[in-house]
Amino acid sequence: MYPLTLRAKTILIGVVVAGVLSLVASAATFFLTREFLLRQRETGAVTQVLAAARLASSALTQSDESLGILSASAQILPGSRAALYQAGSWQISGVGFTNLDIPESLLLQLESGVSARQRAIVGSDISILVGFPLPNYLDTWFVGVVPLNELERSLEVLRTTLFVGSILASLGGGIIGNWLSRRMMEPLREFSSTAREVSLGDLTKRVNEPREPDLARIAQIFNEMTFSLQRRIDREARFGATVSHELRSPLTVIRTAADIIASVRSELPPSAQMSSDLLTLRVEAFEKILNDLIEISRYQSGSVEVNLEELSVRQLVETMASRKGIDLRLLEVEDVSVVVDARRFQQIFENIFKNAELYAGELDAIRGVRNKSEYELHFDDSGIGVTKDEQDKIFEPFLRGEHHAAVPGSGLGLTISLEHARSMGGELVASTSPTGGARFTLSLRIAETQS
Amino acid sequence: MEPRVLFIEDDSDIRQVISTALEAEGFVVEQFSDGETALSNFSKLKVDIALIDLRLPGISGLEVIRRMRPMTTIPLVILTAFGDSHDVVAGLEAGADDFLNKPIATKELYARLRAILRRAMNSSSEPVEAEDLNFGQIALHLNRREVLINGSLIRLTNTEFLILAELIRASPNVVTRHDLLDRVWGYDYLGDSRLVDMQIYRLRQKLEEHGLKEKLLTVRGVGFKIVQ
Repeated sequence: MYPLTLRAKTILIGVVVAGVLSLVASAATFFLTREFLLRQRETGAVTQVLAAARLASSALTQSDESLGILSASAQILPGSRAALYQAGSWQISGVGFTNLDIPESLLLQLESGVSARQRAIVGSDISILVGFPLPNYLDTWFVGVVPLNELERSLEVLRTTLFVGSILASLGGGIIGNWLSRRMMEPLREFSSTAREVSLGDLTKRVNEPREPDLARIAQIFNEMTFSLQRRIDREARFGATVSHELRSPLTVIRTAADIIASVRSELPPSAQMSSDLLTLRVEAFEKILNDLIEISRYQSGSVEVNLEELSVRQLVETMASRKGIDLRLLEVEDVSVVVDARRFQQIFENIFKNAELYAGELDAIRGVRNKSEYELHFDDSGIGVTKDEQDKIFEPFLRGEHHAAVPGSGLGLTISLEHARSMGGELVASTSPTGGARFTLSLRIAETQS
Repeated sequence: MEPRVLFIEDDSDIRQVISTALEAEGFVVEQFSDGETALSNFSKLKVDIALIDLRLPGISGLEVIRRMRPMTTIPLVILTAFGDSHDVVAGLEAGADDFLNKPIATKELYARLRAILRRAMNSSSEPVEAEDLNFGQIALHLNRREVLINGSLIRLTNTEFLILAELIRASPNVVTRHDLLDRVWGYDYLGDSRLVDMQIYRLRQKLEEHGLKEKLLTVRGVGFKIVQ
């Protein structure tokens, strides 16, 4: 199961809190209202039954036609139900009412000579029963029944209303939670997209400070952090540029001097010839490493300028192949326009070629394949290949395939090649060639004018 | 006749060693350590090409190129620290025709200078087109390196002249950047197209200044053409 997002949690909390609060409030409202209404109703019922009992009592003094008296006095009660206990037997008036409906506890109170009231079900109606011992008569009780149906119906409506209200309140809670979370997450979303751009190398990006003081503080800290990072990288880049320039002046002298000596190689004694050869070789290697370091520091400081053009991938590959003395029959590349920086393409080609020379002796083939909006160039060799573990690692600076420390090179060639490929909107990946050697695949964007 | 090179470089070791290498290859080198002296002596030096370091004391290499450009039609070549993109673009804008990176292998240096000079000097090693090119109001005298617009002479640098000739020969077809890099500069398909763009910009300005009806058009993603 995925963990809930902060937003989902906020919405959920909104729903639950609003739901619970409104349910509690509704329940309290319901019970209080119910108690109040019942009490009011009971008071009314007592008054009504008392009036009926008085009516019955005064009638009994004039006549002993007790059933008739009971029916007459019951008339003034809603539902017209009443009972009279006289001389050990019950007279009953009203539909669906028997003396058995009168609760035992009510009778006990009447027997002890006090008036009493109690809620009970009569027929199918919830009712209140009120009993009075009739004054001046021994063991004579009058019990009146007042139904509470209407009250119950009112309470039912109230209960439904309150329940629906709670549900609406929960929904409202959810909506408010949603709105609130969106409002709160908006700056965070901006933070994260800015942080992403910064992490991708654009150190000029800053977040806008939101009005909320808490978030504004985070924004300030983030901006300060990015600023100091940028300043530090700038300083390092400036340092790198200065160092490289300072190194290049003596290197220019050494390189040219070595070339002048090499041009008269045949006139030198054998030991000087060997020294001249070594000097030339190492100066060239040194120059390559220096140039690679400068390229890398440019990528690291983000001060890279790409000169993109639409060029024929076949002509690019053929030009490089003939420079490197590769048999043109080994090429299978279509005449497709791709988006490249010619200088960077050249360097990628040189680095892959150099790699194949070092680890396999030579390239077997260069094949081109269209893949949607990209053109993929496969550079295959039959060397020792690249293991799965090494396929990503070999693009890291100064990390070469294991056990190959003895192979010369700056260890930066593939790192730079990958950066170059990406700066042109392409990609460079390593895998295994059909013969089990190494395959480097350079993907280049196909020019839009063509695709 | 030996080609004459003006070389402006403030680092005395670099100046000395590169001059020595060039002289060993048969170039005549006029060395200067600063721009002012080079500029004040420029007219009497009669050089065929100038090699200019960008970081110079006093007036910068860029300023030297800016001041030298109206004085001459010869190729001006920047000598710059490797891949300093800003420097290269600024140098080309100031009027340079090409650039070389420091450090440079002497063989590459010789080859580049010869390639530039061969085209600029219209040397006898290549067959010269005797006939002239006419295109609307424009007349090109190929062997005299002269451009006439409505009969009056206008001043184009060697590189601009060669580009105009290529465009007129190809018209009404498009000439790609890389055709121009090949035919005017002698680079292969991987040459730096920024060289072309800057020269086209300057050439277009000059043609417009003279109120030509012929237009130098950019065909996006392909190259350039001249139309009447």
